[in-house]
Amino acid sequence: MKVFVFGGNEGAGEHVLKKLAAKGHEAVTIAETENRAEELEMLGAADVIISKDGHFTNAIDGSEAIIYMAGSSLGAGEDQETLVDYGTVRKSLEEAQRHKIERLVYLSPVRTDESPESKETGEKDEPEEWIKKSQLAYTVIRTTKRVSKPGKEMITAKETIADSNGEIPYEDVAAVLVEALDNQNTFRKAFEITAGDTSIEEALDSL
Amino acid sequence: MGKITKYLPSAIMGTSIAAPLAYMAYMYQKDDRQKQHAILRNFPLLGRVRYMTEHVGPELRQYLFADDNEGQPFSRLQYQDVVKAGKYNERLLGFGSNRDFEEDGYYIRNTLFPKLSTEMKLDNTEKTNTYTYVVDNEGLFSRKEHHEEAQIDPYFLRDEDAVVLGEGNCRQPFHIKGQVGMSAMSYGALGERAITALSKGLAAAGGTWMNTGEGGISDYHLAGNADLMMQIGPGLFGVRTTAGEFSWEAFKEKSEIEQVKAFEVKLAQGAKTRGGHLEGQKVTEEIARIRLIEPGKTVNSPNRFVDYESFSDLFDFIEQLREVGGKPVGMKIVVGDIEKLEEMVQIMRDSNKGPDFITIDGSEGGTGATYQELADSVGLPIMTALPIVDELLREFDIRDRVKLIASGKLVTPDKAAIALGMGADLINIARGFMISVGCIMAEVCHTNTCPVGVATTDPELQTGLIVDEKRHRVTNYVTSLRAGLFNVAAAAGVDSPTKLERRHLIYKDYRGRISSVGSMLQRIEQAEDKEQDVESLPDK
Repeated sequence: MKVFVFGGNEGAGEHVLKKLAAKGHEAVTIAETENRAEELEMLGAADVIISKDGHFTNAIDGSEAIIYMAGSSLGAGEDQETLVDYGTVRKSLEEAQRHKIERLVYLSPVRTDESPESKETGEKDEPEEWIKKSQLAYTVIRTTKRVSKPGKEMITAKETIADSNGEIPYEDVAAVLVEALDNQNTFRKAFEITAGDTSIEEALDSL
Repeated sequence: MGKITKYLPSAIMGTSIAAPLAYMAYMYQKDDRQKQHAILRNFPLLGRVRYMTEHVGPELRQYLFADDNEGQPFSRLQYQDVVKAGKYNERLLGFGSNRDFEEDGYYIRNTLFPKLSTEMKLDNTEKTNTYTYVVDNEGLFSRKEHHEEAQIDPYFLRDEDAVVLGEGNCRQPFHIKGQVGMSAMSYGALGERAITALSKGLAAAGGTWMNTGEGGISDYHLAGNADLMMQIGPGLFGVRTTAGEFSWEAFKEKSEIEQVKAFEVKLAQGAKTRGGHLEGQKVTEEIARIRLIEPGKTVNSPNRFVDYESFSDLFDFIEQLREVGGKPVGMKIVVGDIEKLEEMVQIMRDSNKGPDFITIDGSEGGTGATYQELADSVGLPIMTALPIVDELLREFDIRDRVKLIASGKLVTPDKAAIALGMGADLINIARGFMISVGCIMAEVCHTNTCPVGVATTDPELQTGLIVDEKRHRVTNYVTSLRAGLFNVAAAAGVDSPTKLERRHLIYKDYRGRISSVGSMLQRIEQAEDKEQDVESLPDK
């Protein structure tokens, strides 16, 4: 499947590109510089569009699905999380709809343990609301704290996760995003994940 | 019964006073009569304080009195830098540098427009799984920290920047995606646990190598599946017949081991420009099997390869090693005789033969055991030796086919980066890796009593060294060094540490004056032109 990836630069992003390639998908993504594009291709991206302002209109053509990892702005340095620019998210998704892409896997910048005030700060949660009202076959995923640790391929997935100390490796977040892509059980669902003791496939099937 | 209870307390009291007094009296007369020490004869008993204090001096200085920047071979701070990189995979410091900026030294010339991290030619596609320590709470008397899993960036060079030994010159060139590796350390000099931890740690880090030392390939070097460089010293350990001749059969066998990626013929070692001596009692069955010598018998190895006394002999040997083994062959040298080196490089050019790489060991290099006179004053330090070889190879236009590996106290990224700028392609580290597996610089490597079980084969002392904990420190240390090299490269304005050159360096003296780090050879020639030849004076 041809998949357009937003946020390939982010912690989970590199793993997503690698896992998509490993599963035989064709990943297309955006990079700010030639050098970064080279790196993303090394990771397994089939095609990288170089765009300083994140402009991608034509590149998205022909993609069948989108993986959107909100939480980083294009070209932001390593580990540099910025508040999500929900305007851009919405614009991108509207663009996708125009190109008749229906499948969307959205990694929310909102963490499971955030307070209501925090969720609303910078209107971080706004894109989620918009997605849920849209016609897209969406999957919205929230996670506990994401960490740079080796992936275990074992998670817990539930509608809401109460554990405020939980964490999940980037590698596993990426595995869930890629696994969810063609798992129909995750369509039009919003759920939360954290490291756990169920295999990813099983956890997603039993949602 | 009644008597015992009555007199027991005073009996105990009496002996506890009388016994030490008797002992002191005995020592007093012993000191007084001995003929060895004048101070004890003149001041019996009291004179002993001098010896006791002298004995614990190094420990007191290291832990209590020496300044953070004092202490040789490594200062407290240098030691800590290595330990922290291994434990926390971190090199951050607060408030500022503790380097003595008044002193002479090399500096890296930073550009006003450094490279962004997104502009660096890095390969972080394959992450490294390791363990790091995380400090929870640090107080005056205790530090609470825990060990946790981590996935870190490996900081590999891009494929196109990878350093290749023996490119186009042998059947199996060695591609290396990092510039830092482990210098020669034999099994025997280091214990099995230390070698195993190093092997596993280096393998997990990838993009590096492990030099076996001249003691041959042990199972512990192979334990982690790291890439190996097998060293061949004048003792020919591991590649000899029982009679002590070179064995092509044994060599072929070694060259067929997949982990062995290159061979290094050791002509000299920085601190040890001499032959080796292996005490018979250290030659266990296992060591005998690895080195191909007889168990229990003392082995003295010569200070050079007996069969090769000219460069053409040596190069023929190297050619044959490459032909039979199919892998790159280098040689390890210490620079002292510049004229002879020039002759060597000329022969390399004219005959189109010679090593695929040259390991240059600075005279500051370490060793398990050597003589003071050789360690301190024979051979040139690395920052002088390295540019000389680099320039000679360039002068004769064969630099592209010979890679240079530098060693000599290059345990932190800045030192390593300066060596890269001075002409090195790769960096060898030995003591930095020893520190990462627990060395506390007790400086007793030659006694087999290493208190932390690193430089000893004593099984009891080695129980202190836990392989599964130390291996991660090795991984973190080497990865952190590579990250640091990229940091320096970015500051100097180049996108990869492979592009560091002489022009990125500068030398500042104690008066604050700077001099460019230009051609070392031209300096020598210019100075010679001005100088009067001593030989032109009448003989002494």
